Amino acid sequence: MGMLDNFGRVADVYMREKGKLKDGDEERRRTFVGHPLWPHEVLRDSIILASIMAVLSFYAWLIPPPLHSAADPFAQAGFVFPDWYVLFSYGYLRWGEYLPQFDIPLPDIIGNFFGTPVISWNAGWWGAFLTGFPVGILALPPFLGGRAKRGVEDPWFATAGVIYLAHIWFISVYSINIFLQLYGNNRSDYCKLNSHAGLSCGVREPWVADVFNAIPWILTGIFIWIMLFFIAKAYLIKAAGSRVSPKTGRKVALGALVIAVLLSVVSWPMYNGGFWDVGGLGAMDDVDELATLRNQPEDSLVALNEGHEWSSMEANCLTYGASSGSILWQDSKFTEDGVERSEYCLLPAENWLNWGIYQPVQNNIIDFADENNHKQTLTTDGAVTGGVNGFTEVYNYAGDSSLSNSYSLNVEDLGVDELTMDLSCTYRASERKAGDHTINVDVTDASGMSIAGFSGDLEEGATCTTKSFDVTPGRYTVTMTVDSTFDSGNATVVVDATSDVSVFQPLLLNPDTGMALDRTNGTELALAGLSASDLSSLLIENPTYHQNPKSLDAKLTYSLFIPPLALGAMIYVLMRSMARGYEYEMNKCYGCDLCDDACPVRLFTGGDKLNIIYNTWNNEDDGVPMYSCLTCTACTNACPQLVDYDSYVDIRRNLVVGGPPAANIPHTVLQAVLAAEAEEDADDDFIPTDEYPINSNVAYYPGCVDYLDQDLVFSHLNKGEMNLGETTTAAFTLFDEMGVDVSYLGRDFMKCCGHDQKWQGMDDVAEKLKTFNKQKLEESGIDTLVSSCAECFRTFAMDYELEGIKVMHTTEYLKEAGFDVELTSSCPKTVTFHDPCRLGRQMDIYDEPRELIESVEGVELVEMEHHHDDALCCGVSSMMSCNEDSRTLRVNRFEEVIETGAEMMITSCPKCVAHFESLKFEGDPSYNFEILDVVSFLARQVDEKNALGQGASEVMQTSATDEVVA
Amino acid sequence: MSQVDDVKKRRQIEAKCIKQRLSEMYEISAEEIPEGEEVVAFVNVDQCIGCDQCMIVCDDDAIELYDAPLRNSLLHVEVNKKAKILRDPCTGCRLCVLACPTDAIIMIDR
Repeated sequence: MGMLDNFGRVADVYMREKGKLKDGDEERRRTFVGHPLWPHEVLRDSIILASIMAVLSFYAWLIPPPLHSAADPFAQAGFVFPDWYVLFSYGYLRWGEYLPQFDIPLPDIIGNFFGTPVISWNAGWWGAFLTGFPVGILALPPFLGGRAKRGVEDPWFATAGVIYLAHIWFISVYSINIFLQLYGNNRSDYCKLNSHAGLSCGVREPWVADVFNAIPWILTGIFIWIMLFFIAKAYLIKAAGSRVSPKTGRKVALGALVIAVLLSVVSWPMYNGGFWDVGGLGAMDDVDELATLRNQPEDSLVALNEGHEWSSMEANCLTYGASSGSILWQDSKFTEDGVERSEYCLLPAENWLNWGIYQPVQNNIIDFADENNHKQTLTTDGAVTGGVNGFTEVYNYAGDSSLSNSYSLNVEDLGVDELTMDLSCTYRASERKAGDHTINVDVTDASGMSIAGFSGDLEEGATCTTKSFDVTPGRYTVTMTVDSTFDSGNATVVVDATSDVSVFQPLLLNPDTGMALDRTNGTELALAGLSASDLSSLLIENPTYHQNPKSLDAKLTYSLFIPPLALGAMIYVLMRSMARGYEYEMNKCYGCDLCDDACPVRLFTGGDKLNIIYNTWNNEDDGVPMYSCLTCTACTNACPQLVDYDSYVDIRRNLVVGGPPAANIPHTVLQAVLAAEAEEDADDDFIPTDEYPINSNVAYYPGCVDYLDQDLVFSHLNKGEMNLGETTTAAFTLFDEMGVDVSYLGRDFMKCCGHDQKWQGMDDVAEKLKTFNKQKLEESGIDTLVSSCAECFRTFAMDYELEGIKVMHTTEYLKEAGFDVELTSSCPKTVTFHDPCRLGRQMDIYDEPRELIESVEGVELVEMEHHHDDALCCGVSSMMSCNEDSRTLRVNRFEEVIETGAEMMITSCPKCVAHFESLKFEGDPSYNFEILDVVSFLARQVDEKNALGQGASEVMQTSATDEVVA
Repeated sequence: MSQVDDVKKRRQIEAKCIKQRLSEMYEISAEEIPEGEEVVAFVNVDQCIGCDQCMIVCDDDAIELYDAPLRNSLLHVEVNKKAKILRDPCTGCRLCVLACPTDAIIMIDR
């Protein structure tokens, strides 16, 4: 039904009802509509303003103020970045640097015009190209989505939008994540030597940068969490079906959270190190190149009077007296320039460990500068005989000569298995162009295998290129051959040739002082109580091991993808829960009050406020109306915005701690029996599927009518008048008559459908029933489930999520199966039809029962004043709220029936029948009409017809016999 | 045998089980209701619908119906009755409690 249509119809009802209400209560007036300016609106606007100011202040505080000293036109620009609104483009530019670069050949005509034969597709082109996407997307929204929608109406669209915005936000903010580095240079846990040899330390708290740095990874954790949750839940639902309750959902969420936290914590070093293992997502130099980084923490002299903010470091800085062994104190400025040593102190290497990136490929920092004096050339009488960790040999010869020397090299094992060996040589002749020279260096291991070496011609005055090899600790032999061929007459040329072999051992720091250990200084070793074998315990773990020097670029690349997805996932979850959690539904209300006038309950709560449900939601009520609501759907039916108040009531009732108030639920014994049925202990009382006779794919479920017959007080006393169980037999009478095969799924096979429990606010009980029944139904292999009870029908159809099983009301099924039984009422009859809320307003079935009734010849169907979707409520659904108010509703309904002059009130819900019968039983003589279920009504006609047919055939038989006799 | 007869038969068996379940539950809930000379029935008028059931079961003529106005003024019905317990004739037999369809009657200390 279109909204306008609905609105018009409802407005009509409104006008009529309004008059009634005005007569009924003059005091009825609205005391509270919308929100007043003070304090509601003012407070809300203040909160919004404060949030905006908070965001601005946050950025003002996070990002260092850009104004520093006056600009120096000659100074090289430091960090140049664009205005905030094009930062995203700048981000693409930075990313583009790491995307493939190639040349696109241009056809001549274009190439000539631009004056270039090719386009070199570089970072600039990438930046411009990628910028086109977000800008282009901005033009799309008018063509997407069809109509203006709120996020909750289309969570996927909202999610896509958030991913887009988050992408732009992340690329903008993280494109200048170099601020992290700038900030890092001013962190209180970072110091550096300034140009006056003083130590300058930072002042800012480190955590700000840490948090900023961590945001993408925290979001990744959230993303993993949400994904795990959905995957696990999808799997669970597939495996366990409806046994997955909200409780299980919470457990899954908690488990997923734990796993997500563990995963993100474990993988944090990967992110923080700039994705070393995956090549920095493109933003990293080759590992071979990074292996050439040889800087290392070193002992450094610090000028005492030149430092800034370095008080925390002063205690670590050693005076001359405490570190006199260091060679640094032998600097010429002390020995020759007369600088006082007392003006300096020595900051040991240990302190420098965290102040830079050192040798990212080395797990232990390697002493490339040989501060530890690992390398020792062994000599005997001035002649080199070999070396430990390397040696230097100087050749000196004249004239044509060829030298070949072998030395043994002992590479120590200090705990690092893979060591770097450098081979190099120098050559110098006393005259230019004196001849040809070749050099060969060969390193063989203990077994004589050549593992490294180089050979080649030496240009005059050249230096052999240093070559690096990986070696393992052990004994090696180094053979060096130098071959010189001089032109004749140059025999007096003197040649200096030097060869050098170095194997770099790990850096060792003195555990007492933190200074680099001097292995040649026996005193130092002795003081520290160390023997040579202890040295391996002094290795320094590299704090920047596998730290990508371009990690900021790698993190930018990462921020473009997963964190926006995480925000998108969060928004999706939020939108989904809002869509489920009625928040959005209720917000659609604009207070037109039509629901109010449609609400039967408001009539007797004498409401002076807007819709009771809306007010409960708005916390302007104490929640009591939650239980006075009859869930008749009249409000939603009247609502031009189609707000689903019923679901809200359903959800809210289930949130009430301690269950429904006893006063609202009569028939305690019946309720207790049905609830006991839900328990798993009771499963054995029900016949298993394989033992139950099911011989067709259409099944009939009777509901609790047999229980009602036995329990409802009025049933006992009202025998013959309201035999609700009769409906079941009636349905089968009709099936028989039509010749359709329907299996009976009795209450010894299936449990209660759970309708009453669900609407009474006992979701746990309803869930148990649902789980059991769902499983039974799926096992039974049926494809159509028929029920005459409007409540059962609604519950199976709307709440059970039955896959592959079509749920139908008996009237619907009869129509579909082609109800072709010709029925004639023995005497002409006027009947009226009462639409049950569960069948009419909730399931939109109005015509089928009416058509069936009218198909009986001799029966005239007249409508009451309120019919179809405006039908009045019978006052009771879900066995709740049996009181004088709901009795009054029934009295009103009866008045309408009497007005029509009908002899029979037909309906199709056992609860409607039962409660109307209760009123009729009170004995008011004006209630002289019959109340009957539509199925029973039809079956009665069939029985009548059959009885008649039998009678007729008997008559015929008799006459035939008579003939024979005659 | 036609399906109707089959269903009728099966429902008779079901009805027996249902009867048994309900009776068991009735016994359990009935045990919780005090009875005897020490107690007297009391009608919670909010829940009473004036259905007359209690009067029918009461052997001691201890219950009366009286006309009561509806709580709300918006609606009008001609007849709206409530039950009233006459304390003196009431013997505390609790029959009315068991009969009340809306659980409006409880037993209280006399």
